[in-house]
Amino acid sequence: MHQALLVPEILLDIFAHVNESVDLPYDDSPCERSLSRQSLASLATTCKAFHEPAMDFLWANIDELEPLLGCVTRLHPMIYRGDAGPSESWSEGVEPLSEHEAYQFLRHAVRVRSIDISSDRNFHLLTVFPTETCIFPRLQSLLWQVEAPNNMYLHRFLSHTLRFGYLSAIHPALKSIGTHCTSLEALTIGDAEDLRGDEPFLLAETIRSCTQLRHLGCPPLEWEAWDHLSNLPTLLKLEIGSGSWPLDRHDLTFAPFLNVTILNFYVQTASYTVTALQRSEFPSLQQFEMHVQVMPFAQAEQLFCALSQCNTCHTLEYIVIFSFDTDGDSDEEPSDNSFTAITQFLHFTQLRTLGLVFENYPVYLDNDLLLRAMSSWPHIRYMTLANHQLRPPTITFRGLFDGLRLCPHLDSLQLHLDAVNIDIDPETESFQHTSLQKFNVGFSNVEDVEAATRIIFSMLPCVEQVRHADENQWDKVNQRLKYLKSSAVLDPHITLEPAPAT
Amino acid sequence: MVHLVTSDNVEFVVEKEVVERSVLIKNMLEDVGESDQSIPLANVSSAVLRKVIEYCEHHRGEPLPSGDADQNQDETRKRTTDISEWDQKFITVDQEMLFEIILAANYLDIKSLLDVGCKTVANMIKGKTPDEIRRLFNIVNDFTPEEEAQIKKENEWAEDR
Repeated sequence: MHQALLVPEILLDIFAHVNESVDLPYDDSPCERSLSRQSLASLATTCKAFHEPAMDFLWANIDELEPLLGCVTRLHPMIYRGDAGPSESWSEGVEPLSEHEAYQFLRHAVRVRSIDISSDRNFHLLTVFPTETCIFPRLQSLLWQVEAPNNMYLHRFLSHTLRFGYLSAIHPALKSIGTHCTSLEALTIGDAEDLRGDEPFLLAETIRSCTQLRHLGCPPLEWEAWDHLSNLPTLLKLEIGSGSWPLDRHDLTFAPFLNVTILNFYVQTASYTVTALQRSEFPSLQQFEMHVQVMPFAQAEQLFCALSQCNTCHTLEYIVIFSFDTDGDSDEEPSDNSFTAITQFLHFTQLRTLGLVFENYPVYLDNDLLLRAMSSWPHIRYMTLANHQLRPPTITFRGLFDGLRLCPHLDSLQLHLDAVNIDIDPETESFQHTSLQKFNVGFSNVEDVEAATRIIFSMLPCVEQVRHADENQWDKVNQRLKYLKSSAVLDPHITLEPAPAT
Repeated sequence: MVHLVTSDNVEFVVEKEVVERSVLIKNMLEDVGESDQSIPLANVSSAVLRKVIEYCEHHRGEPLPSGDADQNQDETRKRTTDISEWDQKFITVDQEMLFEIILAANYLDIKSLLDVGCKTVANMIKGKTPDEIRRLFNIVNDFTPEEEAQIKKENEWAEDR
């Protein structure tokens, strides 16, 4: 054996590369993960020098408890009795581990850094361990999708080394997670749409016990927990999921989320978000994203107003808001110029991404407002304003290119365009926008295919195809555009001749 | 220019920008300042250093991994599972030279070269049985049959089923 294989850091580096696909998501690379695990198992059996480092890598990430239970002599034949792996019910009626067997179980538990638990079917075997004792002393990542009442076993997984936790439900054991897991950086509590009984308070206590969080994802919080979070200097990312727990509107204290850079809401209605924004400041916020099921027009206006007043104007780079109100709950049709999202956002001078997608009402934009917006957002790279089919378009080609002159970095644009009234002649214009590659006109209509094609061909040279919703005239534009571009490759001095008959 | 002397007493004169891909030499140069004195590399032979210099010359000017972002480096390393075409051709050497390059990269602290070498060895290992790995690297099995059987039993979950 070459002496290089006896140098610990070299051996670890080699094994880390053998192991690397184990860290990839299972769905992306099941074969690679399997190959990596088999290879590490081979290395562990090759010689004594390889054994410990290979076992450390191999056992670092496991799914469920079966690998550890398989180390127990009595259970091994039950788990590995067939070629198809253990059946789901292999442990039914099986006696719990004895004290001696607990040592066999724990032999490699110390190596486990990450574990996914989606079933409680083997928990009854673990009664030998005291309830409050953690059996994974070096665990860093826990994915816990076990329903109550077997959440009582959660304590056995709460290591003081835990850094990342995903828990599907709220349970009393969570209350002390911050005390048990002093290194906890990221906590996600998901799938808890309707908090019942004392769950909101348990959630609040859970949050209050965490003092080092950098990332939190959870259902809506009551005010005290929100206030605690707002004073957590480590917190960088906050994601609020579905739920109907209201913030206390009577509390006048402003919550200062000093270092939060990413704020996401995935909610049924916008009311919680509006209140949270009204009662908080986010002086470091860079990204705001919201997915809301139902957002009436008036509430949308409140949201934009609250967001615009959140002391984020010098930092916010990313605003994406989706409303999926497909039932058409928005009775209040806005007047053409009353929907003020763009106006409210003009002072976000660092904006790079703006995506506003609403099912039931348009975002108002005309040539003048587009010009103001683009002069306010010189760094903008991505802009989507949809869905606009409810209103006639108010942006013309002239307005579009006046705006594009001011945002040289724009790469992707979707808006409703009045392409019927051609108000620009590309042969008299010297301007070309050379960054725009993705151009989506949604439901816009076009009549003069030749004129529209010439404009796009001449002034948007990086646009290969115009994306659109359902107007087949745009297909003709794209065919003509393709012809012109292929001809231009052959002859750079191409003139815009009519298309050949097809 | 920097003068390097190998274990077999061969002197190489190398441009500072090239040789500074080695963190060890870079730190040495920063500590002693400009000097015409040769730097002895007692752990590196001339044949190996020639290969190392070839690598450093090809990658000159590329940013060095920063020392204060271990986690990010790990992420980057995990994503770059492929070895570039040039690196692949460069590292296609006999096994003795491959391990000597790895040792030299480790000693000289050239992280990217160490990665290329270790990835190459990792790719040689993937999919092989313990016996095949032993034969490949001339390793003696120092487990008793009972120990080997026990390890296989414990790791059975990792086998393809």
